[in-house]
Amino acid sequence: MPATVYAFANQKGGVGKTTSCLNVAAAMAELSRAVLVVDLDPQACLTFSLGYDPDTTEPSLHDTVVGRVRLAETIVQHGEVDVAPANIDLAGAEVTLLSRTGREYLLRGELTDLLDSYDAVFVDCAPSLGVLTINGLTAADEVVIPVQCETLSHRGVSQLLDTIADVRRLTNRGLEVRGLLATMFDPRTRHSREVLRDLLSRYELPLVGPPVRKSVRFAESPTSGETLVGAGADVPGVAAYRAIARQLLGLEVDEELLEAAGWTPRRQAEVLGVPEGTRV
Amino acid sequence: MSDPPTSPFDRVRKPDPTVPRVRDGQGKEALYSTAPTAAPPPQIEVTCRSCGVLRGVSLLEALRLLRPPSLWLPFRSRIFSRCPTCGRRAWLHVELGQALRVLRSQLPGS
Repeated sequence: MPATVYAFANQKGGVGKTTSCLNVAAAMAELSRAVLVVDLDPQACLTFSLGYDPDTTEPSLHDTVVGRVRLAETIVQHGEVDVAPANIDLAGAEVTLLSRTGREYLLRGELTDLLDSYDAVFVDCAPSLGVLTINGLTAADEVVIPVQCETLSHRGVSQLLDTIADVRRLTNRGLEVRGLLATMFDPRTRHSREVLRDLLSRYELPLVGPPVRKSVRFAESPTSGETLVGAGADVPGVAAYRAIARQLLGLEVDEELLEAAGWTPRRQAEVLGVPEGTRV
Repeated sequence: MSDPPTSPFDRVRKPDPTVPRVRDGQGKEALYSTAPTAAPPPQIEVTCRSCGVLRGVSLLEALRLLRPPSLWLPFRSRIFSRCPTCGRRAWLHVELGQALRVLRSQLPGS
């Protein structure tokens, strides 16, 4: 069966797209799935987080965009997942792309031959609305929207849904919104809870897995070159990413994993404003 | 007079695809090379039943779609030909593009 392509997108920066993309991908790899992550952000945070130096990693996605090599030739095998790396040159390549007809379909075309080799492909989109992000959304089967539970992120979701509507109309009719992935969640603050509750009700979007609790370990992990999931860190966020990976694959998420993620029935009721015991 | 806001997040509006954009829609669609409103305005719009993509093409390109082997159902606005976007042979729904729609709207009696 060909791989499902997941785009992790949000036009707002700093909401945890890269961290979520990488850790969900690593959690899926733990479940014995063949996973490819594609770094579609010229800032190359995903590439760096997996221990590669974007300035010396060649060939990269930039070479694919300018037509020098195929995407398959850029892929490097990390211990956890395969990765198509990026570097800052990708920003310039985006300008090159702007004048090309069919520029939205470049990634989709490059992934076509790879889909049979993987179970899942994760695309980490850039925090902007440009041709690269449109490429990611055009290539995807499903889009996951990482969102930090703050007011400006709330606004970012509205803008992204507008972009998704354009993509659906113009380049990818089959694109599905899988849901919101709440990141850097602090259940102690009323604002976090209010934003999450309002987001879910206003846009009528499902919540993908439990909210990922804020932890300084996520900020530290890019220095180690492996994901927190791969390092086996014992923080609630890691359990949350494992639960999200299972949910994306349609597997049962057991109560133990939800408890480890800090998403107890009581907390669910408190955050989502539903009666305790309701399965969300 | 509009109703007072009931939530602090009411200022953030949910996008409604049925309401036409007041601001520069063409500017946004310029990101999409195949968008019907991407410059220059296309004469014909082609929607592929296979890939689902709506694409603007020139009259000349539209005539090329009729090149054999192809099948044209003029009353149903359908051509069975090679899709200009995905390259596969499929049923293509054909309609007037923005440029010709504008021209037609300027005709007397329209």
